Amino acid sequence: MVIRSFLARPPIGKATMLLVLMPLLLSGRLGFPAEQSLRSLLEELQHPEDASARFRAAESIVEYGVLAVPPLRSLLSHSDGRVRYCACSALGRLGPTAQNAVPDLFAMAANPQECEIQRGYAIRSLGQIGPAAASAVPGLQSLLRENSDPNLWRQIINTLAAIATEEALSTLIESFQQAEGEDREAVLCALQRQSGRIRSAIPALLAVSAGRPDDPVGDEVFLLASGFGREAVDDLVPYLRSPVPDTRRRAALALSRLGPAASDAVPVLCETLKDQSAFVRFWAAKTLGKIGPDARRASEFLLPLLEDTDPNVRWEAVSAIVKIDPTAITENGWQRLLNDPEPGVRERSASIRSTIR
Amino acid sequence: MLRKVLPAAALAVVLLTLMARTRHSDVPLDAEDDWMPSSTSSSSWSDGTWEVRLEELRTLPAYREAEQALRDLEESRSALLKSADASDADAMLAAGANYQRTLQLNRDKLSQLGEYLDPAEARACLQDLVQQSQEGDQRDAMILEIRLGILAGVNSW
Repeated sequence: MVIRSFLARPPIGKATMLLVLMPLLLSGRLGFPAEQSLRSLLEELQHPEDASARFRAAESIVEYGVLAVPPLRSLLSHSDGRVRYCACSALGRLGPTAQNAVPDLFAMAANPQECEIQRGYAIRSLGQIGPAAASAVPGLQSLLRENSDPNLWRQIINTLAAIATEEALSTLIESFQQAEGEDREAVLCALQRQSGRIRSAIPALLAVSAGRPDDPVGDEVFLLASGFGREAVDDLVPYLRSPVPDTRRRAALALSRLGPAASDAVPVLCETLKDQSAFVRFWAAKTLGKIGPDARRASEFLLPLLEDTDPNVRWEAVSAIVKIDPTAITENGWQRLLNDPEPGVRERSASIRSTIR
Repeated sequence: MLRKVLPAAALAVVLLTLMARTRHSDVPLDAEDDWMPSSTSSSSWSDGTWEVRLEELRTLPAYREAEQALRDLEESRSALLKSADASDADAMLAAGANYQRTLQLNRDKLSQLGEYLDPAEARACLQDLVQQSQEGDQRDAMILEIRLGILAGVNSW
């Protein structure tokens, strides 16, 4: 009936109503009538026997937004752990709206009388609240230091990454520096999940990784930096001059992901083409190729690589040069490539040449 | 027992070094050129563009060396199994030593290949190499072990 009368209105009336109603609908202040009142949902959330009723209530109560926060905070001290869990879960679902519940959630997380699982849920909910839970960071830092349970440790790491304030990120970097094996990977995974929000942590992460030449997650750290596009170039370029070949390779690898956005790195990449390590020369050539015509000045430095001692470098140099300037290789050069002692280089050269003819 | 366990475990162990490089690498390539696929997410592996790139990578000299090293490993493994069947202790000892050497060579070659590959490319190449070098049932056993994480450090395929 309401819809019919709405549709029957003249077009200008509909547009005006939409303009008024849409912001309200989007902000959640005007919703469709809730099927259950807040009071009945809170009762269901405390149901002593029916677990599915509790879970449903924890999901539905989120529709009430900020109104649901005070009663849910009270339920965090309920005598039944299952109710505390549901309240915790509902507060997490509310996200930043549940900011006022941060002290209560943290109290639950830090309570040694609480079971580890419940503490983990509380920590996770703080992460769901995100940057609005920044006030919990000092407490989480202490928990991280004192806690010996590996699951809680990882939960704290994930939550700090989700909060992603400067303070939280510096703790994560410190953990990344100190942790070993799977714990270290867990820190990196947490950061990768929040990759868009950790820009400020990139220089320190690169430094930590470069400080460990055999870092098993080194590639991932450098690739994480490449997610920031042109902004990452200044962070990555200094590592092309690292004394460690693998670090130089990682820097070039990460720059290669940027394509033309890495054009500011062309001068240093040209120097890197003379690197002592073949795989570093390979990656420098590849990166220049991906930069494309903007790296035209690199052609003269790339051409000698067609006679590199490493066949992999020759293999990559052909395509890099052609991507930058398809006319740069002379007929004599092509003949040498098509008669290269390495079959792979011959095949690659023939294939590339066929595309530019 | 030896016949069942050795093929699966050995080749998987050979891949460990390179696998370590390929973990947590689902970040998509965002600036690929004409010869590269536009994405490296695992969901795009069935995409035809990957096939084209893989075809190119098969001509990479380091890839060919790794391929040859895997073929050598297959041969040395067959010799080891043959000597085990014949219950010839001396021959088995010699074949075992040869197998160890080939295994080490494989590690080196695969590690070397990893230096020339983007981690996403490395994963595709590893699958390709395993498919080429293993008979169906052996390959399945190996992939199963990797997926179950039975082999330490390998759980991300």
